[in-house]
Amino acid sequence: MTRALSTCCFALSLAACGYRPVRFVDAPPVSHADDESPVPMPKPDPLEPKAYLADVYLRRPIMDALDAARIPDAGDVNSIDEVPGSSWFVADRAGRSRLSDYAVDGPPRSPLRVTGGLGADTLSIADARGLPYRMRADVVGRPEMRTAADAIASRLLWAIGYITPEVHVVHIRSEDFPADRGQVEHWLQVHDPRQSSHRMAATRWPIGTDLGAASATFTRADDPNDQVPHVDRRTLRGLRVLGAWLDFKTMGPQKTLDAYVGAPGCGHVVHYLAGFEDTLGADKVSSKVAKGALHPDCGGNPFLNLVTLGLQPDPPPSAMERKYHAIGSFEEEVHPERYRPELPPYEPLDHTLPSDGFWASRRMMGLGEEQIRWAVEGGGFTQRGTAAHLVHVLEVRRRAVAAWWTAQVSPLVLEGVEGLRLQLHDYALVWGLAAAGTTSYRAEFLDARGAESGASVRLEPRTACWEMELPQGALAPYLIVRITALRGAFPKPRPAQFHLMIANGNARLVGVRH
Amino acid sequence: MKLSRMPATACSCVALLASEANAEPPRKQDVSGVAQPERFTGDLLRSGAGALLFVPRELASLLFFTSGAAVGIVENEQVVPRVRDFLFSRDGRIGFFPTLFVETGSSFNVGGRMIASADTAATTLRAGYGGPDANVVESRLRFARLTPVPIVLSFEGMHDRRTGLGYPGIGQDPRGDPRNRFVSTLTQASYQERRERVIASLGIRPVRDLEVFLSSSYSQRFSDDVSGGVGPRFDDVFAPGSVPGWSRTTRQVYTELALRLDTREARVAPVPGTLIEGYGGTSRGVKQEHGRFLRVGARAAGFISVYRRTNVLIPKIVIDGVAYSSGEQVPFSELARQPDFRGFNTRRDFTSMVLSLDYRWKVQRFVAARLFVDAATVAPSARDLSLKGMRYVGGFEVDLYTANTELARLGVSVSPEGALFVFSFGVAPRFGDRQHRD
Repeated sequence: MTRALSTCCFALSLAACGYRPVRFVDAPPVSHADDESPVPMPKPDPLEPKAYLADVYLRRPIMDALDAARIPDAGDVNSIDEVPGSSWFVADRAGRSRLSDYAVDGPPRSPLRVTGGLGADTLSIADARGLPYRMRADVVGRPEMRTAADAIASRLLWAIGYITPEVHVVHIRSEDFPADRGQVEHWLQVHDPRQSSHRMAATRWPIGTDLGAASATFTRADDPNDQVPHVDRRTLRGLRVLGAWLDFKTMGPQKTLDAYVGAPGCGHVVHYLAGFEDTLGADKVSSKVAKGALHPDCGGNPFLNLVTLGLQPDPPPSAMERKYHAIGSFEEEVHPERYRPELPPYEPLDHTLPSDGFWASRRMMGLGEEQIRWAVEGGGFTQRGTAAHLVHVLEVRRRAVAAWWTAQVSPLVLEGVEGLRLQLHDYALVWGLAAAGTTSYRAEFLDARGAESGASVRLEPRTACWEMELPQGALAPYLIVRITALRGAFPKPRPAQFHLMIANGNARLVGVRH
Repeated sequence: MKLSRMPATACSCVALLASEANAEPPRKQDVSGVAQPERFTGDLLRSGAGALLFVPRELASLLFFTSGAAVGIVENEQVVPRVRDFLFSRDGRIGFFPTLFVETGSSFNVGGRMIASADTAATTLRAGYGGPDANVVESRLRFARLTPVPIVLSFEGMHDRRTGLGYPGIGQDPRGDPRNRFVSTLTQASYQERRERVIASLGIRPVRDLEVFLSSSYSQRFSDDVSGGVGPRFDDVFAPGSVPGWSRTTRQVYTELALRLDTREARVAPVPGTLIEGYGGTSRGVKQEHGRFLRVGARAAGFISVYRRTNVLIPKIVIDGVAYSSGEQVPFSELARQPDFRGFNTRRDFTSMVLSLDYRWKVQRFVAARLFVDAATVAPSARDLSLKGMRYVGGFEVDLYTANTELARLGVSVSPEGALFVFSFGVAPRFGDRQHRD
């Protein structure tokens, strides 16, 4: 009895240990992660499907059940809640990139030669400069769709800051392969005998030495630069937001490719995103099936597939598909709260925190209309009106996705500090996703220990960009300003925290958390 | 402010390579700027719970540490991989899988499998435990090369003990078969078996869809009554000495030549194609008077896409036979059985036939479901095989698969003899080919 009582008291005391805020060092935020030090070339690690399935369907549920810890904050985030530049991400690209920087090597140049990998719709080649490319064709009967999706998604993700290999839409003929003409002619005829010139997506890959897929969970053991578990990378967690926007049908290690760039011993690993031919609804299309021909593989709801024995009729073509033959089933309607790619699950997406979603939303909304148009032009649509309509759908979808993720946080960003005056932007209002007239804020002031250092204040600026003077009575050497946005009477689930060093009547930002 | 870093473009590669062995690894990067992490109410309680769960969590993590399985190493069937399966390297990986097998009428068996693979070789070690009289230890070593055609050489060794096995006698209707000498009204004897087996196998794929296997095995079995007197003893059911091979060690060397034509692009995934397989082998006893016989058989299956490419209708026929000269005795454990029959596999005789019709469809990536019906019969000879009096079973299964391997299976089958439930993970499906037979 005494032992049980003391055990309960101990447990209660553990539970009762109160909240303690994060504390940041008084230093400027890191802008580059310094993960490109020269390292020996790691061993290639091709994706082993059986091991991956065992990991996803058995290890992960067991490990998750045995893990009582909270999902940690992303490990690749700096003190101001941003992702610094690294071998995974180019931080200063979004919104300021020169679009011409995308095509470093450009499309393949004739004459071409086959280097291997003649798949059903894929081909590995080298161009006249000796640069390797992977060519992928469209599905017969749906020209332009997959090749355009690959090229467009690659450009959009590149513009956001991800590292993607170049994808160019090209047209090839057997004459482009003087040394392999017969082989290519046969392959092209098998693929689509009706065409004399075949449209393909040329992916500039491999860049450097292909090391295979990046683990969804762990680091690459023989890469000393890879120190943040991949499941805790915001760059990967944020793909839940971008996946909902661009409608990734699948997401997994097969889309995250590592390459060793540089001379052996002098290079480092760069982490790419690739393989987006199934985005923008390209793999959800309803094909017109000729009489007697087989229908495409079933996708969609696995429970429905199970109970109907895989015999359920294909969904009718959407209005988008009927009107625009080069676009798949890619509609304006999107449900970001429910979005998940097709099974098997991808672990970083299950660890996406609201702060990760807000970061990805800012990157996504930071793309200008010019950049989106440029990306869509890379798809090379020939049907009139297709590009404009896709731009419109992308815009509608990204606003819906951003609206949901910004509603999970108080989407405030500190744009500047002058003395004790904070200049704040509410990005939900900046993007027109919430109404300024019904928005107010509650600001609390805490010291480094989390104790109140002043009375909270209620603010109703009625504008997206506003300023707040720090009350004199609330100042502390290390001050945490915690601002919760209220839409109507409803507070957002998570406040924005701004950590400031106060000295000589001036405030200096040292940390941000959402 | 950038963290200080060594400019990669300016490095002296020669100097770096020379000092590589002593090079200092990049220092741990901390970009977060966090001096003290956030702590929520209840975090200490979570930490306490985490400490309690540390040992089981680390054990589970160890079981899944990396992997690099070679194609076919976990199969109970000889496989020569296709050319494309050689096109990625597997070097220096060791992986662990837990294994679990549960089937109605057999003991719960849990264990683990370790797989290590290098460029051309792979080895697996499996151990399973289901009780003191139900355990297995198995090791396989496999070499695979591509030049000039795919070729595989493998060596295997196994020791296992199984208990609770049943023998109802020979024939489709054992009680009515005059070859069985029953001494009571009991219809089935229970027994346990200890088995050791080594197999050497050479497989080659001379053309794209054709595999040729030459294999030889030495197996040693000893059968006796179940420990503890559980279940009817053999002598309580059959006249002593009337069942060849009972209660003595049987040693057989079996050498076989098999050909398999398989046009499917993947062995396990639901895809269309045709499978035709034939084999013939000789078996002779070692250090025993009897046990010389021939095995011969064939299997044919069609994989026909219905409505979708991944909805596959699979009609199949399997015929196995044992031929012996007069005066010869074939141990009861070496009679033809029916591993392809997914009901209660209890019938044995010198000839066996199993007809199956499966409908398998893809539910989701790497997940498929199956409806099936089997009909099986045994007979003293091929001439005596008949569609009359066949045993039937129907059922449903869901499996987790990759292109060439079944990873897990959950299924139920129903027959007039009862229902059968099976769950397996990491254990090869069914009983494979003749060298890996039950």
